[in-house]
This record gives sequence, structure tokens and C-alpha cells, in this order.
Amino acid sequence: MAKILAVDDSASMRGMVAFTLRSAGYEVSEAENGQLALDTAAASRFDLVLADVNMPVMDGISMVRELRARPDYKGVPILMLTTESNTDKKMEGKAAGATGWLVKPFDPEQLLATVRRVLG
Amino acid sequence: MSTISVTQFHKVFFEESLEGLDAMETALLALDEGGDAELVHSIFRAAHSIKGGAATFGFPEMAAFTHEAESLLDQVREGRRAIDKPIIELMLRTVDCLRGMFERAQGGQPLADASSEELKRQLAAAVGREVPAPTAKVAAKPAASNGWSIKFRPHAGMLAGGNDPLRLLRELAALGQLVVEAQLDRVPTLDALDPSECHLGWHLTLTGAATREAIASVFEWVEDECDLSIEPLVAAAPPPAPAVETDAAPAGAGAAAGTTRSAAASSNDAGSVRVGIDKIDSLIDLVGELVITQAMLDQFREDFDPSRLSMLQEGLAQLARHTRSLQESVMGIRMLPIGSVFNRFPRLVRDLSQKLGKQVKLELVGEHTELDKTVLEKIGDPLVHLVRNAIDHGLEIPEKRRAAGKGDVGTLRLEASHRGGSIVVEIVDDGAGLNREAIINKALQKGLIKSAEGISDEEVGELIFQPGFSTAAVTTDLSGRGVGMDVVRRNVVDLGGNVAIKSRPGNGTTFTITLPLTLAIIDGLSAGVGDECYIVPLVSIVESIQLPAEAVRSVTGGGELFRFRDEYLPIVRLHQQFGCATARQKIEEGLVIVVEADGNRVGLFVDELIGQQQAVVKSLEANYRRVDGISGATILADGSVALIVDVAGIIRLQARRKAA
Amino acid sequence: MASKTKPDATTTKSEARIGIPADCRIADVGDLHRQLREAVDAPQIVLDGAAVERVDTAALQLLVVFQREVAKRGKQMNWAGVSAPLHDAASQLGLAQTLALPAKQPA
Repeated sequence: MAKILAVDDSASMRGMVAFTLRSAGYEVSEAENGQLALDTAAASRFDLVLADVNMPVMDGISMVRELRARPDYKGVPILMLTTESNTDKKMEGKAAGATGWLVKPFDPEQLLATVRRVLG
Repeated sequence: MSTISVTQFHKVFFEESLEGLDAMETALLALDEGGDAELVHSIFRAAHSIKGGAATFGFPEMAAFTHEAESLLDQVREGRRAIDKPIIELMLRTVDCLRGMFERAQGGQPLADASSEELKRQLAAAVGREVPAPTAKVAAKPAASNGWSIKFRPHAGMLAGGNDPLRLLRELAALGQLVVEAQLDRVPTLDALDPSECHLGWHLTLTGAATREAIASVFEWVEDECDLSIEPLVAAAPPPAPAVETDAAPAGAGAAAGTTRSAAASSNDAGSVRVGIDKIDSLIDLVGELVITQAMLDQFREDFDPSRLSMLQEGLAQLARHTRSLQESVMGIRMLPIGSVFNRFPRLVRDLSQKLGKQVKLELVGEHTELDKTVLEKIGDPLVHLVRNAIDHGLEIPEKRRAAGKGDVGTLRLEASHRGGSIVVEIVDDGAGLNREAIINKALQKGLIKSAEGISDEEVGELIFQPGFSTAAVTTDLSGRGVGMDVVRRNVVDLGGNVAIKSRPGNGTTFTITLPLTLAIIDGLSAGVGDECYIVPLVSIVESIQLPAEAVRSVTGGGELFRFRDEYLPIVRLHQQFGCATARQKIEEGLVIVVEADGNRVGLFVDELIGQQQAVVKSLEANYRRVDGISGATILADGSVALIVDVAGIIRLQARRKAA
Repeated sequence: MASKTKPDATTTKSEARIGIPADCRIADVGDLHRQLREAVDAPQIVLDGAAVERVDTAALQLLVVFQREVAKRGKQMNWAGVSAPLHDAASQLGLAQTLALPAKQPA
């Protein structure tokens, strides 16, 4: 089953994402900021990365930029978890190499629909 | 997917949001003192997280409210507005209001009330929007046709960005009948090809009932990464649909409307602890070690040869070491930094000193000192009381300070530190010190003492902890809120700690709270009394001595005293205290353990000392009933039960007997 | 990720036979690109796509470029096997004919 990395500094959001995806049978790793996510992503290759934008230590956009620069992550879907107010952030994220976004708030069904859509 | 409900994440959401609010408040107060831009970012981040979580977890009113605050913060963050006192004030009220909302959310009550609505209006007004922007979407006409012609040419980088045209075309195919014609005119030669770049294009014809919006949403993520045109098929073309994409509605406005909120904080309120990954990792390491040791010891089960005794001993020693480490690590999970309690003080001190016209500089030291979670939860109120007390009574108004030759600004220091097996929290002010005169007068008036003569400063300090001492005349309702210092001490004692006071007339007062590291395990000395075994907490023990019969003096009223160093201490015979018939009666046949609590000492008479050990504390109250002089029970290695002596309780009982 | 077997290529003087790996996507197409460049001048070229489980546009584009290169040289490439995922992906992208894929084999 596909491996997914969930990156969010909010434990509740991360917990919801991870729990939902695990319940659907995905293998999920968690990281609470961009820097930890980069470390985790270096240790093994994920099929999908879901990343919050606003995080301490390293924000989601810097993380996407670094991750996308790694040959291993060429073409790997990276989705930003963002809110509507962040239209600029969506574009900034895209420019940094994000594949797309999932708009908060989302519920478990919306999350799964998007993940299935991306992973095919 | 009905098994997944967002409500199960409410508790974590509440916890992290309340922490976020604390952080917001701290940062706001620092901004008030002229902090830097990074503070604004952290405030924004906290508000943003709460908004996102509130919308996700089914609290639209909270999301809508926080949205206004976030918008205002956004203006500040982007430099469109300077941060000033009114904004800080507004944001502090926002923090308070959100705390109220979380409280109501935990009780399953409606979140918004008149005051939150009013504050929301003020926030919106500050943003420059009297009325929240209407959220009505422009009802886009269902721009259906009998088909669409789509021209799609990805830019070279689209593949590397994770958007595979294969996926997009599959999604389109799901919307109707899709005819695909690949455009190969731009593909390079095999040698020139960078296989991660896209050089293909497609002409697509989609027939069926798909709307333009449905098609556009397939390409939503790649609008900036491709050339795209979506045209109705010429045959039965309706007027071209307006190229208006509706703007996203503000968060919260009707967002997550489908998510229902369950009554949170129902039966499932057992409390939780967030644990750092490093702590978990060290636990896992230790368990690993234990498994190895166990495997090593297991060899001896089948095949034990006396020549391998030393190996067995080594294995057992290793087992003991690892068990001890594991125990410490597990206890460590319950340990949280005291900073979470300290954090509430900057705000309290600011508000209170403003109200009283005093100038106070608050110093927080040792915020990282860790305390047991239970202790941490219960120490907040006593600390608040002592801090209020210090500002109210201890620190003087600027004129008085100047008259006393001190600076206008008083200093209040909260300092936490480890000291031996305890945590010490000191509340130090550089105010006037205790008002000896006023306290003695009050005590006389209350009948707590009979005469003011010969009362030492320590005794004066002790007076304020006496039940019935505090009154409005000495303790204003501001600091007291109807609760006296006796309650502060009682609360601390209930946590297995104590409070002491030291006054430096003219130079200030220091309250020292000593707390046990943990409530769950104590280091104790086990002592035999008749057939029973009692555990005396090591932290209370001064010394154990054997007394000759002639060292003990009987006093009128039946008490016994003995000389210890330069004072006379009462003897408490545990066998009398707890009714053990078979115990030794003669002082010279047993032992006296000198113990101390709250600055008072007594000698506990026991038969013998058995040894030092750690005791896992079980509540006697929960399993049996409350017994005076006993703080709990523990189970010994042989399976029998031993009672844990409540030294402070015994000393109180002894004092009461003396008074009677 | 699905197992990544190294594409096995055997080039004899008459025939180049190239196996397409099970997971053949953008991050790993470099290897296949190198093998195809080596094979392009062989008199007989056989591609084996029977093992393909996951394939993306980058991989199919590479095969199309290769096919055109082979055609330019007046030669033909032949398929030893085509898995269902490979066939479906090529069809979806409108590339099945260009790649001269045989009719879909029963799964």
C-alpha cells in the first residue's frame, strides 16, 4: 500500500489526517515541521506528501522547495494543506514545486477522495 | 467511512489550541513591551491554526470569529497596519474570548454569545469591514453543452511537479466520453530528451453532460503549468459561459456545515499527556534492553550450572538497572515543564499592577523545570494566589518605594528549580515585607494568639497561614477572593509539599513552595511497628536515633519530649497513633526517627528500621477511607500492604493534642 | 513503492531486448532512457512490457520518442509483452497506436 507522509504542526490536524489514511489502509508517517519532514523523507521514499503551510522551524513552502529538488521526489505528489485565505500561498506553493492543495477545512471523506485521486 | 469521526480529535484540538492561546498571549504581552516582527508571525500562526482546526472539527462560529482576528493580524503581518496598544488590547480580549469558547465547546454548549459577537464586530471594524463580506456565491450558470473541445499542453516542468497528465485525462474520461489525440509535434530526439520534461500535448473532445466547472476543476492545480483552452463544441454552442470563477468564501462562513458537533467532554475526560518523541524513543530503547536481559536470564532456566552464578548475578543487576531506568522514564512521561503555569502570570501581573497603580517587573526563571502533571494542574491556583498577594500587599506604589529609597518599579520573581528530590518554586518580591504590627494585631483580635510578646518573625509568618486569619482588612478581596493563605498551604500540602515564608522587613518577602517530583512513587524508609510495616518518606527524615530511657521526659498532660540538638521535640509513638498492640513499649528498645514538615519536627517512635525502598503510592482513600496521619498505602515485595506515614499530618495532629 | 527490478537488457548482434520495469515512472526512467539509447541501433528491437505495474506520462513519452527514433532509422520495434496497466495508460494518453501496441491481451 502507498506510503504517505503527513506534515503539520497541529497534532489534532495531523492526527485526523493520519488516522483517516491509516483507516483506509495507507501506511502513514508523521512529522511536525518541515525540517523533520525532510529528515523523514530522506530515510524512505513516500508516494505522497501532505504538508501544512504555516509551521514553525521550517514552513511548508520551504519544505516543498527542498523536497522537490531531490531526484527521488521528482514527480511525487506533494499537496499543501491550506486555507482559502491563502490564495497567494497556493501559488507560492505551486511555484516551489507543490502538486496541488487541499483546502482546510476538509473532512475525512474529502481527504480520502483527494488522496485516491492523486494516487490513482 | 462512517467510523471516522472528527470528534475524536476534539480533545487534542482543544489542548493544542489552548496552548496556542497561551503562546499568543505571551507574544502579545511581549509586543506590548516592544517586541519584534517574529512575534507577529507566531501570533498569526496560532490564530491561523485555531481557525483551520475550528472549521475542520466542526466549530464554525469559532472559525468565523477567529477569521476576523486573523484578518486583522494579516494586515499587521504584511505591514499594512502598525501594531499599537488598541490592537494589542483587542487581541488580548480575543484570546480571552476564545478561551471562553473552548470552555463552552468542552461543555458542549453554544460557542458564540453576545460578547463574542460584539468582539467579532469590533475586529471586523478594525479590519475595515463594518459588515462581514457577503458570502453569497455568484450562481454560475450551469454551462453545459453537448460537449467540449479541450486543448491541453503542459509546460515542461509539470511532470516533475507531480501532476501527471495521465491522471488528469483519466479524471476527464470519468466525466463523459473522451476522445484523445496526442500532439507529438514538439517531441525532441532520443538523445536530446530530458525524460522528466513534458513535450507532449493533447486535443481532447469530451462529450456528455459535463459542465465547464467540472472540467476546470480537473485542471485546478495546473492552471499555472499548462496552456489550456476549454471551448464548447461548435455544433450546439450555448453562449460562452462567463469566465467568472467564484471567489472562495471566507473561512467559517457556512464552512463545514455538514459536520456535526457532538457534546464533547462527556464521560471520556480521563486527561491526556502529550509526550515528546524523544521520551517515547528512550522508552522503546529501554524495553529493548529489558528484552535482551530477559533473554539472557532465560538461558538459566533450562541449564543452570553453579559455575555460572556470577553471570546470573550480573544479569539480575542489569535487570535491576534497566527496571529502574524504565521506571524513571515512565515517570518522566508525566513530567511537564512548569512554564505552562508560569505563562499565565505576565497577563495577570500586567492587569493587576495597572489596576493597583503599581509598577511591576516580572521575572520568570526555570520555566523548563518539569513537574508531575497532576502537581502542575493543581499548583496553578496557589501560585496565582501568592502572586496576587505579592502585588497587592508586598509591592508598594511608586511613591512609597521612592520614599523607601527604592526604584519605582518593583520586581516579582517566580523561580522554579530542582533541589534534591524536590521541586522548589519561589515567589520573591522586593516590596515592604510582612507588616508585623498589622498581622499581630489581627491575630490578637482573632484570638489566634494571646499576647504579642516574644513572638518571633518566623511565628508571625506562620500566623498568616492559620485558618481564620485572612480577613478583608488584611487581605483584600483582590488577592484573597475570599480564600485565605491557609487554603494555599492546604492545597500545597495535599500535593505532598509545603509552603514557607521569609520576610525581610523593608526589602521584601519570599514564599518557598517545596513539591515532590512525583506523586506516584516516593523514596521511603520502612519501619516495623509490631506486626505492621510503615513507610516514612525519606524527604521528611532528619535522622534516626536510639534513645536511652532517661533521655525522655514526660510532661504534664501525658506527652513525652526528648532533646535533639538544641531543642526539645515531642515523641509520637506510632503504635499508639495507629493502635498496634504487639509493638515494643520501651523507648530504649526501639528507635526514634526525627522527621520534619512545615518547619516543625517530631520524633516518631518505631520498633525497628527495615530498610530503604521505593514505594509506589496507592490511594488509601480510593481503596479504603481516609485515615489521619496516613497519606497512602503501598504493596511490599512480599505482597503485603504497608501504610505510608503522612508526616505533616502527624505533626498537625500532635500540635492539636498539645493545644487541647 | 512497488519493487524496482533493474530493466534487463540483452543486446546480441542481431537483437536488443529490453524489459520495462514494474515501476516505471519519472523518478526512475533515467535507466530506461540509457538502455534505449544503447539499443536504438540494433537491427532487431524487442520491448517487454509484461511486468509493468505502474507507469506514467514520462515513461510513455520516452517510449514514443524511442519509437520515432527507430522509425526514422527505417526499423521497427516489436513488443514481447504488454501488461494491462501499460496498455491502459498508453490508450488513455492517445499513444497506443503510435507505440504500435498489440491489441489488449486478456488480463
